[in-house]
Amino acid sequence: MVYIFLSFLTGITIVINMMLNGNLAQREGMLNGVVINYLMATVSSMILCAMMMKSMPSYSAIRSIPLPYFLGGFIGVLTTYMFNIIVPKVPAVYVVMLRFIGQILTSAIIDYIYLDIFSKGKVIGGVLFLIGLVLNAKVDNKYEQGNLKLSENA
Amino acid sequence: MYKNLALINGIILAVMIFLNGMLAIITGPYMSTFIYHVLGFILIMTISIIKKNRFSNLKKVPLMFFLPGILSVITIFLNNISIPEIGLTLAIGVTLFGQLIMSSLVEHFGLFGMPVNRFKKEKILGFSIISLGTIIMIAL
Repeated sequence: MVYIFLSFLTGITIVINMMLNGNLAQREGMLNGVVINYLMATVSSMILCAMMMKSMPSYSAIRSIPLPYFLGGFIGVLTTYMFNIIVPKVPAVYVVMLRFIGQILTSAIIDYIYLDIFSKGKVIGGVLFLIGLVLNAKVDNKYEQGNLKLSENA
Repeated sequence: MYKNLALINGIILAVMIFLNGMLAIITGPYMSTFIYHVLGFILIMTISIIKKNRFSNLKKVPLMFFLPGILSVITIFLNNISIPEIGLTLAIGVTLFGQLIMSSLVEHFGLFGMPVNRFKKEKILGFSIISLGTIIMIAL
């Protein structure tokens, strides 16, 4: 249950980050925005490691890491980059919805293939989640069209 | 076009979170968070140098904008400790639920300079179904 709460918290930090990064990119340019982001992140994760010196892995453990696992860091830059392009162009609710579809589908496949976890509950829950998102998007659409009509009349 | 990008963004995000989680299983959450960010930093610096980017004067950047880097560490760290315990789908599902709640709050109150977009009562049904979906994901 703790981990479920932590995952929820992750969602909140992601949105705050997304907003601040959008503003930062507008101010300093996209590239510099990402540079500042990673500079701070590298420094603060280094401090975190220094504080947790006892739980550091051995050199041989690090050497045994399969190469693809290192790709996460590179993909991270790519997604941050993409994010900064998308956020000013697409309403936040759509960003959440489309990323949801991509993420849930992909993660269900990965869970099934690599972690051997697959439950009907996750699929049913995911589908319900999606239905709710679509319903909300429809409400938003209706209001947008209403606003358009208003502005046409005016 | 930008909406397609958002979908692709989701797919590669899931792959990224998975790779980080696997890394965390081997190195522990602290080291994997560091590895993730240091590699990202190397990549973005390389891109910057190739593109002959003029770097910002860090002294002129408002303090607030140093927060995303720290938040990013918290995000990756929380991911890295949760995924080995509860799996990818559940972690991502609940994270997205958190994102949805937070982005609705952002829009409703117009936080971070976003345009105000008040919560509509018609959305209560959608949010109830989403909440039910999340509960089913957790419980079953």
